[in-house]
Amino acid sequence: MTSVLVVHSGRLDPVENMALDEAALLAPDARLRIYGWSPAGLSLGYFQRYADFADEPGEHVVVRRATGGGAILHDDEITFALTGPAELLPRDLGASYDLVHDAIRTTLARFGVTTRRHGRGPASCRPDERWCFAKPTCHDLTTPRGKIVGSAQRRTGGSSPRFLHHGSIFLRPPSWPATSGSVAEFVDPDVVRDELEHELATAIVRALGCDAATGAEPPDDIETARDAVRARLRRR
Amino acid sequence: MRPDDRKYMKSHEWAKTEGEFALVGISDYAVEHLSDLVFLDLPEVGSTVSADEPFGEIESVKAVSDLYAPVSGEIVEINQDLPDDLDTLKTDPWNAGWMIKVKLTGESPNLMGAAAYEEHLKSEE
Repeated sequence: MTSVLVVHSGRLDPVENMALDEAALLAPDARLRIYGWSPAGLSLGYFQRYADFADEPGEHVVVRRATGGGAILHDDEITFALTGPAELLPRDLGASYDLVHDAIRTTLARFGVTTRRHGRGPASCRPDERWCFAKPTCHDLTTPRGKIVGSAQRRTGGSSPRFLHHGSIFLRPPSWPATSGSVAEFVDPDVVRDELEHELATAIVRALGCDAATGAEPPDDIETARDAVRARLRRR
Repeated sequence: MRPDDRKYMKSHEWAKTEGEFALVGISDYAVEHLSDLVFLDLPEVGSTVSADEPFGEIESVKAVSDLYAPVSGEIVEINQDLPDDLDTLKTDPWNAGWMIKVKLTGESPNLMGAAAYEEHLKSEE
């Protein structure tokens, strides 16, 4: 059985977060990084341009994700980056989102946070909608107020195909979009945050049919990858 | 049966050789499984590609996927209209949906003919 290294990174700088995620994509193992943002971040989907968000108000660091989809304001949320060999996820993109989302949905439910798969609409709102949380797709999880989990992927090929799956679960809604769902609709995020993080990690790893091994990021390959990725993140 | 006038990669790109040049695209299987294509990024004319290395990126269903080059060489032409009309990949991935034209210096040793590619697809299902 494949072992997934679960890393609880804490709240990191947005550039640091994206660099570590891309480093994990380059690494050979399976990894689940769970983290927060300090300061707040505005992450753009891989094909979005910095210039299109230059006038966004607020104090946040703008970064680019390696994954697709629309922009997200990251503030009080649980973010995760799941990376590993391609065979750990269904090849079908929609099925892979549903697998991860079902693990999140059942975990949130145990904390009293009721969500459901939106189940209608397109599989992607891009390129018409530039904000990830503005409009749910058929695979998204929603609360009565709106979308609560943002997800996007990158898939690499070659001799060792791999994936990076990004997920953002809003604990409290950011300033934009105003229609986002969040954990705070149901419970006090400060009360459940730590336990929810650990339960989510367990559920996601279990959904992959893997074992979890908690630890820290391997330092050697990470530092090299960080330097390369930092330069690329600010390129466009 | 897919066209047998070209060679295929396991990652579903194809190369059709015409003299010292090759057209490169992706198969109908790739288009079907990516679904809902929204962005395509192709390299610039004059740049070079290396066999089995990424030459472009495509986004679908909030997922970015790398496109891999079946051949090596200099890019002499790109299908400029394609990024703005990705439906072409659905309607005609074999001809109008070509992506780049390469002046050949080599090709991947892992390319398959159409029959072998069909067998590969069966193993993926």
